[in-house]
Amino acid sequence: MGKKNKTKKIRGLKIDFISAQAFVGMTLDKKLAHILKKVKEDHIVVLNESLDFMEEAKLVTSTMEGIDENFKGIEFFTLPRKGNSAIEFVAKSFEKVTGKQMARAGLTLVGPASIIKKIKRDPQAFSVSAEI
Amino acid sequence: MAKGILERITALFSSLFGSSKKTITLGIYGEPNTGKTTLSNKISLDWLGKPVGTVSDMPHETRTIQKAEHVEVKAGGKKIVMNLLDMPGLATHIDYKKFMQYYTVGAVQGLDLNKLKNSDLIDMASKLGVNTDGNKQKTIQKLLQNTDEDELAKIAKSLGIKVPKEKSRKKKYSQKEARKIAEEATKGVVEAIKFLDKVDTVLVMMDSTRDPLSQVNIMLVGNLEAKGIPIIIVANKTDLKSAKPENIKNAFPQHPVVAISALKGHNLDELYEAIAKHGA
Repeated sequence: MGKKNKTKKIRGLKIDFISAQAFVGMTLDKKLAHILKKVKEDHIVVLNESLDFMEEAKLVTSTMEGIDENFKGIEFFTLPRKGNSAIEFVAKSFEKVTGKQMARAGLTLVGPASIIKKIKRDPQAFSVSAEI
Repeated sequence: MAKGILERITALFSSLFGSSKKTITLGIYGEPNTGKTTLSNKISLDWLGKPVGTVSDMPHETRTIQKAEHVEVKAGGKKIVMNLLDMPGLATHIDYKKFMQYYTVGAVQGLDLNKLKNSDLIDMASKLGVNTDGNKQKTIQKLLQNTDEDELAKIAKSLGIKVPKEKSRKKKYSQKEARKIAEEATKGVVEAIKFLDKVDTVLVMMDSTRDPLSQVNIMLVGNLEAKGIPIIIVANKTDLKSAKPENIKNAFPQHPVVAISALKGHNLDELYEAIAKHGA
């Protein structure tokens, strides 16, 4: 009689650290859909890039459109990127022409509102309180 | 061409004598329960004589854009004409279960001047040094324009007039109603964000008792800055003991911040002057 291969399901906080490179060439809609899919599975997503304010607004509207009985929404935080207007202009122009996103230095955290209870913000840092 | 020259001359005269009557679209944005509808009602009641929407302590009470058109406000020797848009509260999460508890609907502490006799209102106007033609609604408007509710209560007391407070009621929603409210609230957030392209000036309402560095506030101010829309930050609820409007000033030093109590009508003159000065 063979041994039963028991897989123990671990309960706990699930955090996905995703490289900005994973989204290079992806449209904003696809990128946000990917992030929100993970968040709806109760994962906290951490990206090593920042979203700009317009992208944040799009993240909020996409979230609102996905809210239902099981998904209450998100908490998120983006650390501001270092401003370099010349690089920013080139990046924006590239995105406009190709319709594809480029990675920007910074940090973004997105998680389910049902798990993240509080984010204490500071211009240069943030701390997250979560509850499982 | 002649029309263009005429427009320029008119604009020049307007700028010289402050008689510009350009109508601005003023959006009132902010997180839920920051006092957007209370302020909209206060402005609209003072200058149009009618409220904009229902006030309650339930988040997302306002779920569609409420409008008050052609509101003429006098401030700092100028006349501002504006279309006022009371926006649904911006949020990143909405839980329908939150709507299934008791909430207070209606003004909680506001004075109900409509319940007073016209002769009492005229006496109060006279004591305040305000001229009135005897029309009850106009007298109420003039009283509200010239002072705040605390002062009015004091004047009424000195004249032996008892002013009743507006009645509020408790309300609780069923699960079915709560789900519907949540659905409407999510649509309201989307609508408010899309409307950012259609406003000339924005009042960003913040609750002075809360941490101003919320992601919604940061995102809202950032979007407005990126779009080049003039911002006036309103540090509301200064009538509460725990209010710290200085925290808001420290968090957003790049923008004008006006500390007010929309509920009590405190410091609205300064807000009108800020709209006249910074509004597009």
